[in-house]
Amino acid sequence: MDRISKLPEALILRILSLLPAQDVVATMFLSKRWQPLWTLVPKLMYDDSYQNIEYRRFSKFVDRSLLLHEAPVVETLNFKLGRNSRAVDIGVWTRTAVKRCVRELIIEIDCSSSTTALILPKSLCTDCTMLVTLTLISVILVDVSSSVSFPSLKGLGLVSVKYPDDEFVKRLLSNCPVLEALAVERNPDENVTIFTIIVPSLKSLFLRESSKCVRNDARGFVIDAPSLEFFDIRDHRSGFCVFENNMPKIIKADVDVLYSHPGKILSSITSVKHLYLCLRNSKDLYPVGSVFHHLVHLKLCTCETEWLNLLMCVLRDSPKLQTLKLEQCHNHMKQTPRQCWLEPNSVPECLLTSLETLEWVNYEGTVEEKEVAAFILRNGSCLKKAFTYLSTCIPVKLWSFSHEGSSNIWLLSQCLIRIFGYVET
Amino acid sequence: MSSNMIMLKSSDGASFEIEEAAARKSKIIANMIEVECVDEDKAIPLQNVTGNILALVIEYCNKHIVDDDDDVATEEASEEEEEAKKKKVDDWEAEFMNSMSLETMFELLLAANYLNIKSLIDLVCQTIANNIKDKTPEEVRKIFSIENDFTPEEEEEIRKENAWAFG
Repeated sequence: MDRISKLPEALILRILSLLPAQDVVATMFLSKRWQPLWTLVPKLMYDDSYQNIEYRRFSKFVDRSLLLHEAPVVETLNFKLGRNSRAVDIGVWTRTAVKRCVRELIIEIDCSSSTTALILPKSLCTDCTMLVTLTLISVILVDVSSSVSFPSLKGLGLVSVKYPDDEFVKRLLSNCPVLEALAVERNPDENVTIFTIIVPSLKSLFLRESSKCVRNDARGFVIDAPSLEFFDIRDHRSGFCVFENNMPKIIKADVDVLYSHPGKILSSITSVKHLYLCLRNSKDLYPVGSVFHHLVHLKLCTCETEWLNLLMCVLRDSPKLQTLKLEQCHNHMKQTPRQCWLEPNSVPECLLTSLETLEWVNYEGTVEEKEVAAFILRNGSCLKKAFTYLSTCIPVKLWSFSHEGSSNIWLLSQCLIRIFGYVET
Repeated sequence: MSSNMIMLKSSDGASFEIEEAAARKSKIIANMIEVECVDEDKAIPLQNVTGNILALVIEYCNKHIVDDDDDVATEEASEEEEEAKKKKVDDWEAEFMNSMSLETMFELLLAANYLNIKSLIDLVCQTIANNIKDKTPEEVRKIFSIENDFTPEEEEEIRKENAWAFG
C-alpha cells in the first residue's frame, strides 16, 4: 500500500481536518481504505466561495455531508457563507451542529455581498450546552424569549453582529457562566447603545469599534469583570468605557481611546504590569493618589498632543517601571499645536530607582522630544539601555553599559543626549 | 534554562548531540528527562527513527528552541518585531518542507508523532494537506500513488450514490 494510506488513522484525520469540506468529502473516491474516513473527520469547514460552486449544490452538499458524518465528537464546524446563502439553511445547519454537540462553532457571513439578513435560530442560544467556543461574524441575532444559556462556553467572538437591543447583549453575556475570553467588534447598525459586559469569570477582553461607525459619544461600554487579566481596547468612535469594579488581577492592558474622560479606565487597572496607552486627553486621567504599583513595562503612543502630560503623569505614579517605549503608532494631526515641555518639580521615583530601558521608535528630534530624552537620560540613574530606530527600522543601540559607578552616569548621559540630538539630522 | 547537551541514538545506530532545551520540544524526551531516565553519558535510544530522519527532527527543534518563551512576562516586543520574527520562521519552515520528498515527509510525520512534537506534526500535516487541496481524486491518487482498488462497477455505484459530493 502507498505511504499516505498506511498512516495511522489519527494522522490521516488530522491532515483532513486542515482541508475545506469539499476536499475532505472527495477523498471517499480515492480507494476502499479512504471511502469511510471522511465521515470521521472531527473538523469541517464549509466555504461556499470555494471552487465556485452554485449555491443550491453547495447547500445540498452541506445537508448530505452533515447527515452522513459520523464522528463521535465534532470539534469544529466552520461556515463561511456569502451572497446567496439563505437564512433557513443556516438555521437548519446550526441546529444540526447543536444536536451533534459541536465544541467550536464559527459562522461567518461575507457582509460585503450580503443582501438579505441572516438570522440565527433561537436554538443556538438555548440548546448549546456543549459549545466551548463560538464565533459569529456579520450575523443577526434574534430575541429569544426563553432563557439564553451557554453553560460551557469559554470563548466568544462577536464581530459586526446585530442584536435585538442593549438588554439582549447584557443578558446574553450574563448567561455565559464560565466565559473566559471575549472579543467584540461593534458595528454601526447593531442596535446597541451601551454594550454591557458583566462576566465574573472573564479573563481576556478585546474590544474594537468598527471604522464604519460615526463618532457618537452616547455609545460606550460598561464592564464588570473582576477576574480580568488581559484587556485590549481600541475605540475612536464611541464615548466611554466604564468599569463597575476594579480589576485586581489585570496583567496587561492596551488602551487606545479617544474618550474625553479616559480616566475611568485607568483608575480600575492600577494593578497592571504591562500597559500600552494612546489617549487624546490627559485631564482627569485617574484620581490623584492612584499608583501603578506593579507597572513594569510602559509603551506610550506619541501621536496625541497630550502625550507629554500623560507620560509625566504615569512616570510619576509608576514607582517600579523598568522599560519605557515611546512610539508614534498613529499619524499625528500636524495642525494641532503640540505641548511645550515643562520640567517637573521632582524627578519621578522610577527614574531614580528602576527604569532600565528607554526605547524610542520614530524619534524625530523635535524640541519637545529632545527635552524629554535629555530629562530621562539625565535623571535615569538605573538606565542600562537606551536606543532608538532610524527610518530603516533597524534598532540602533545608542548606549549600553552596566553600571560601574554612578560618577560616570552624568558624562555618559551627556554623551547620549548629544547622540539623540545627532539622530535628528 | 540549562544548556545541557544530551545524546540521541537513532534506530540505525547514529548518535546525535542536541541541546536539552531543543530536545524538550519532544514531549516523550521531556518526560524522560523529568523522570530522570536520562543517564548523563548514555544516549537515549529511539528505535523508531532512522538517522537521516532524526537529523531533520533535530534541525527543526534547534530552529524552534526559543519559541516556547511566548508568555507576556518576557520583554515586550513590538508587533512589527513579532511579525518579522514570525515571517522568518515561516520562510524557514517553507524552505525546510520544500527540500524534502513526499516519502521523507511521511517518515518525518511518523517520527514527529512518535516523539510527540506537536508543532512539527502540524507543519507536516499542513504540507501534506496542501498537496490534496483543490485537487480531483485522480490527481490526489497520482500525487500519492494511491491505488484505485474499486472495480469499475463499484466506482460507478459510489459515484452515483454520492453525486452530491464534489470529486
